[in-house]
Parts: sequence; structure tokens; C-alpha cells
Amino acid sequence: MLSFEKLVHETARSLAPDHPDLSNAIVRDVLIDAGIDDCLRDATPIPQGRLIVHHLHIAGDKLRPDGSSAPFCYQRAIGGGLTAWVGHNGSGKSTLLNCILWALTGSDGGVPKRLRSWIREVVVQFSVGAQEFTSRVSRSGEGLSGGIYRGLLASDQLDLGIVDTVARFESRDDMREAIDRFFMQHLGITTLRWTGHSAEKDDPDLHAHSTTWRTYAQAMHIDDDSYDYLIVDPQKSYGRQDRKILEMMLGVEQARTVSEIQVQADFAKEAYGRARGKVSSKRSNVADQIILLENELADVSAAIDTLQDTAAPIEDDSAMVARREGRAALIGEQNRLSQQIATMEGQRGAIESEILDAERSKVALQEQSEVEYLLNSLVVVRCPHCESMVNAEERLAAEKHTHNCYVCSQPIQRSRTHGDLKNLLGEHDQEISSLRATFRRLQRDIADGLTRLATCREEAAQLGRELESNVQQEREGFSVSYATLLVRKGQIDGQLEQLRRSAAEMDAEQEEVEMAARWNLILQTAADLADAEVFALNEVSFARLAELTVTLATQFGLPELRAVTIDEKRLVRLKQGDTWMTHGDLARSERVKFKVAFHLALTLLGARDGLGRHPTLLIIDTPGTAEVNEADFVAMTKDLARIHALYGDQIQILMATARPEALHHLPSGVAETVGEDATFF
Amino acid sequence: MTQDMAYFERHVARLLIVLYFCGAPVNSLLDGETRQIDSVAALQRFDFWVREPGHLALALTHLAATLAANSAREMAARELIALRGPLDRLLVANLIDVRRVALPGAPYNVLEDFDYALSYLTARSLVSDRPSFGKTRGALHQIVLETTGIAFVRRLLAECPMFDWYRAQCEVVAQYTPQLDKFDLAEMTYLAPDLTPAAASTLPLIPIIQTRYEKVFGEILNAVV
Repeated sequence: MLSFEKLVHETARSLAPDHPDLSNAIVRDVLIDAGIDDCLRDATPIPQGRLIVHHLHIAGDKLRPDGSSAPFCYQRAIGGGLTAWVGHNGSGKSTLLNCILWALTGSDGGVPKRLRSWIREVVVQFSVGAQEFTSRVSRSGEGLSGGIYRGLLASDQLDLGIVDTVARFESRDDMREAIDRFFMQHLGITTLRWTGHSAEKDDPDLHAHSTTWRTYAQAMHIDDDSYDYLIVDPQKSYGRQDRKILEMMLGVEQARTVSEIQVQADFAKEAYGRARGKVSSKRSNVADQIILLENELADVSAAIDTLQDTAAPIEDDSAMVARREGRAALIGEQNRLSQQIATMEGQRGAIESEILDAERSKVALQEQSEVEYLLNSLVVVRCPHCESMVNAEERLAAEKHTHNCYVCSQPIQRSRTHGDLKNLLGEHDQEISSLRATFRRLQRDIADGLTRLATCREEAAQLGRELESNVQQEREGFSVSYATLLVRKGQIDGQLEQLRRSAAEMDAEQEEVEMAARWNLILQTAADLADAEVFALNEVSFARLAELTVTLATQFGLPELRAVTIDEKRLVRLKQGDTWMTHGDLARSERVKFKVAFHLALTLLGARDGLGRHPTLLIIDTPGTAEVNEADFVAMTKDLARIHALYGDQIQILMATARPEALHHLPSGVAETVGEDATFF
Repeated sequence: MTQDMAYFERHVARLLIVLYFCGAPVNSLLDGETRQIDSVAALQRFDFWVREPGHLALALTHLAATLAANSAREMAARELIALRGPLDRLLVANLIDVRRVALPGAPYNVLEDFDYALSYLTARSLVSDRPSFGKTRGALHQIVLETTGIAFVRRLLAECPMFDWYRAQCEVVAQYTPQLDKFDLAEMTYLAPDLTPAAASTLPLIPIIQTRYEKVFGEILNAVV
């Protein structure tokens, strides 16, 4: 048994030859800070028993090819041991198995999307040890709801609502979370962590990921898409999920501790790498700069000494500085004036546009005032649509009475012009004259601004010419500027002081890097030691699994299988003839047999020897429809029948197959069948 | 022209003047003098040039430049001098931008919808508007400015001095209709190179017209005369 003190001692002993400074006390402190002692103390939950499915109920509306729908309701009581569905392709047997998985794991990925819309309700009755439960999933439109209830309950009993609810969910995410929590608690399984980088772009951080019930549930489902890998698809199993699943299902002692130490070691490695990269690049940069500046300082000091020795004249450049300042002020003034003029020009444009709009409005008003009464005096004499003549007297009488138009029955408009036209015209005149006054003022301001700008430019140009002439004179008089050298010396002194301060800060950072390196070293060593220790402690379990797999796979017709081993990296290797290989190296037909044998062995270990935490439920969907020849399929079926006879009360196997010959070898009452044209629902 | 348009009557009055100048005169013993138009599209285009004096001036300037480049020297001089008259009138009056009657949605809505105005005038017996049964796509209506309408337009022009502007515009447009019809109003090629339809709908056009006028007539007339 791996204890904390043992781990500390072994780690310190392993590190001692190369790192004598890492004492037991330092190793202990690091492991305690990383939380390894707590992890070793935490007890693994005790499993409450095996998982058995008792009844399946699926109801919904089946969509026919002609567009009409027909309600369906499928029900089957499922016993312990082997239960089979035998039917041709498309009869719905896989959908039945996937519905069971849906209710037990919350994952509906196996149910085809087209059929998912048919299903209204899935109810699965199951037990975990002595406790009985019912899982129900109801779909309405795109919504999903349901729960897990205590007792074996039929759909109509659940509808009554007098139930003891263990977990309730209202959405797909809720469902997964609730089901994960329920089964991890009841089957006594825990999460195992591993590290990996996020799939999100530009996220450099290392994240810890955890296994859930859904991860482990993959070990109890074998279908025709999964023959190419032994436990989970290596393309999708980031962080060796297959190893985690195997360890948990085999009940490897302290698997959680090893995974936790490895996670902490990975984080330490990441932190060390970052700290080292950051400090080393900064340090070399600062060191280079200090060397360059020190060299330049030596040159400058030498030049100053030379000038002092030869009694170089000291310049008085105050007049030049004053001119430069004056020129800078003038250029600043130029910029300010240009901005001011641009703003005023923008305002002038806006005012011009407003004047135009006001003048157009005034013209419209004038036109309207001239023509309004002339046009309104015209009398409606005929319908504009049918051109029937309108009786003027009748129209007037009717409109006076109803206040609606005689022709179109709409309310009569008293006047189209709003307000008194003369007043409106006056207001427009006032507005236009006010806008014009603003416009004139802006014009004047712009003209003034332009004059000032021209003056500024002229003065700045004059100062520029003078400065140019002074610089020319200076160049002729002096080869090296003493003042410039003094200024540069001061600058270099300041920069050197700053850089030396940075170097001192980096020394402190270097200590942090060394601390990170120490963490990395200790945790990596501890992780390797713990892994090897746990493997050695559980070697017997791995060996028993390997031995049972060989026996079953040979019975299923895998030729020349000499041995199976599970190495210290938890990779399953097999020896066929004289060659060692992995599951992926086998022919496809052989992979099916080996995979079924491996998972049956894993399940049998739990059932027969009480080893591990496998739920002892295996769902095998269409085993080797095309890949396995008839003789081997018969052997496989016979073995399943034998396992049913021997361990039927301890293992549950749900199997679907399209091969009718299975019926001859399966025990009576185990299989449900459908004819060539019929379906299960 | 919609029912909600502000100052609807001034638009109706302008339409009457446009009908008067755009329509073909028909004299009959029974009906008396009427003016007839067989295409709403032609009426809309005519109205566009009347409503948009800036566009008219730019189009005439463009015509002048084309004329000078393509015609024989003497003929060009005569036609150019003829073109100068209306342009001078427009520039001297300095009202090109003020007298513009822009439609809501310009420059994407350049042609006016006359349905409501024609119904208004039909109900008052100034205009008759009926299907023409013509075979061409443009001739879907036969719009007739009736004798009463002609009398009303004459009264309007006599009593309303503000509308004399439209009379002068209509006379220019009527004179140059064959040349103006060659311009595609969806493209407005006469605005190039320094103007686009969108810019022409917002900017004051007088400075641009003035520049183009001086360039075309300054250079060409100096060279010809």
C-alpha cells in the first residue's frame, strides 16, 4: 500500500544522488503544498452494487414516408444475464440499445437524429445493488426534461406525479450533470484527472480535465463503429482516457492519487517552463544592454577627458535654444490655427447647407401661397376612377352632413397648409437672415485665421533660416560638441542605473525559477514512483484480466493467441504467433473478437472475482455483422450463452444482431425477433 | 407624389405646367385645344429636368462640350451660342440650388409618381387619364390636358409669378428634349468626372456648373470665334 511517508521517503532517496540538497523535509513540504497528502487520505467511495436494467419503455410518433405519423409504444422486460434483439438492418434494434444508453448516461449521440424526433419518452427501470430506480427522458419539441425516481415505475405511474424524485433535469446539460452525479455516487466511481491544453485558439494555459460517468460508460458499450480501438477512440481520447477507464473499471488501488500527482507534476512543469523562458530572455537582453552601454560610457568619458585636456571652448547655445523654442511655438500655433480654420470651414459648409434648405422651404411656401386657393377653388366634378359625373349640390349636401369626401368617403381635409403662410414666410426670412449673419461672421473669422496662419508660417520660416545658418556656423567651429557629450554621459549613467536595478530584480525572479524547478523535479519523480508502485501493487489484477482475455478470445476464434500483457503504461499488448502487437495491428475481424473478449473479461472479473468497479452491464451492438465468419460468430454466441448460464445472475449483457443463426445458439426466451419486413417499433 | 407630401398644391400646379409644355397640342372642332401625352415615363423625365435645374444645367454643359468636340466649326458655334442662352439665364438668376425640388429618397428616387396628382386633376376635370392600348411598353396611359386644364394653366401663369420659373424651365426642356432623352437617368453620365448622383443630390451645384461653364465656353468659343 502506498502511503504518504513512503512516497516522501522514496522520492527523496531517488533524488539524492543528483540533488543532495533536496532533503526529506523539502520533499514533504512540496508534496503537502501540492495537496498529495490529502489525496492519499481521501477514501474511495464504496460501490453500492452492480447495475441491472429491468425494463425498457419507448413511446412516440413514427413518421411514415407519406408524411403521416403513427403513434408507437415499445415495451420489454429485461432479465439478468443475456438479452438479445435479432432483426434485419433497419429494424430498430440499435436504436433500442442507444435509448437505454441515453437514459443511463444522458448521451443521445447514438440515437439517429431522424429517429430522435420520433421519440416522445424513454423510461428505463434499473437497479443498483438492492436499490431500484427509474430513469425517464421526455422530449417535447426541442425541449428535454425528466429525472431519476426511486422504485421501478411505469410511465403512467410517473404521470401521476406521486413519486420519490432522486434527481430532476430540465435540459440536456442538466440531464448529463444529474445522471453523472447519480451514477458516480451509486457505483462508487470517482473522477480521475489529467492535464491538457484547451482547444480554444490563443489559450496557452494548461487545464485539468476530469473523467465522468459518461467516460466510464464507454467501456460498457461495443458497437460496429468502435472495433478499431479497444476502449475509446485514441483520436478523441486526449490525456489517455483509455488508461483512466481501464484503471477505474479494474478497480486499480490509488489510481486517483497517481493521476492527481501527475496533474500537479504537469502544472509544475508548465510553470517552470514559463518562468525559465521569461527570465532567461529578459536576463540576456539586460546583460547585453549593460555591456553596450558600459562600452559607450567608456568612449564618451574618454572623449570628455580629451576635450578637457585641450581646454575646449564651452558653447553658449541659449540664443539658439530660444530660437528653437520660438519656432516650435510658431509651428504649434500654425497647427492650432489650421485646426481652427478647418473647424470653421466645416461650420461654414453646414450653415451654407442650412441656408439652402431654408431658402428652398421659403420658395415652397411662396409657391404654395400663390397657388393654394386657386387649386382649392376647383370643384370635384367626376370620380377619378370611373369618371362618373358628380352632382355638385348633392356632393356639397352629403359632405356637409357626413364631413367625409363624397367620392372616396375619407374625412375631408380643411387645409393642407399648416399655420399662417404669411407668418411662416416671415419666420423663414428671419431664419435666413440670421443664418447669413453667422455665415458672414464665419467668413470673416476664416479670413482672419488664414492671415494669421500666413504670418505664423512666414515667422517660422524666418526662424528656420536663422537656425540653419547658426547650425552651419557651429559645425564649422566645433568638431565635437562638449555639451552633447556631457548630456549623453548623463543619459548613459541613468540607463545603467535602471538596468542594474532590473538585473537585481531578476535575481529575485531567478530564485522563483529555481523554486519552480525544484517543484517540477520533486513532483515528476514522485509521479513516476507512485505510478510504478501502483502498477506493481495491481499487477495481479492486470495479469488476471490478461489471462481471462486470452481464454475468451481464443474461444471466440482468434488464431494463435499466445499471451496478453498490460504494461506499466497500461497499454494492452498481445502475442499472436511469435509477434507482439497491439489491438490496432489485428485484422478487422480479429479486432471484434478481441474487443468483445477483453470487455467480457473485464466484466467477468467484477462479477466472478469481485474485482474492480465495472457496472457489469455490457451492451454489444451487432457484433461482427460483416467482419466475423459464421463459425466464429457461432463460437462467440455460444460463449455468450455459456456466460449467461454460468454468470447470468451476476452479469447483464444486452445484445443486438442482424444474424438469424444466433437464434439457434441462444437460450430460449432470451431473444426477441422480427420478420424481414417488420420493425421493433 | 404621395398624398402625404407637404404643399401638395404646388406640385400639382407644376405638373399642370409640365403637362402644358410636354404634351402634344391637339386641336379639334369638338374638343377644342388639348395637350396629349402617351407615356408617363416621358412625363416623369420631363418633370425631372424641370424640378432639377442643376442637373439640367450640367446636362446642357455636357451637351455643349460634346457638340464642340464632334461638330463642324461653324455649326458648333451657332449651336453653342444657342445653348449659352438658357445656361446664362440659369446662372444669372443664381437660383439653381434654391429652386431645386428634391423628392424624398433622392438620389435613388429620381422620378415622381403622379398617380395621386393625376387623380386629383381628373376629379376636377382638368385632365383625362386612361389606358392608351398602345403597343410600346412606355405608352400605358393616354393623359390629356383638357381644354379646361389649358385655360387653368394660362390663368395660373398669369396670376402666380413664382411659377414663371417653371414656364422658362419647361421651354428649355421642350427645346432640348431629343438630346436630353439620350441621357440614362439611372447612370447620369453628364455628372462625371467630379460628381456622382449621390454627391449631386446633396452638394450646392452652382460652383461646379460655373467652373464647367467657364471651361467649356471659355476654351471652345475662344478657339472657334
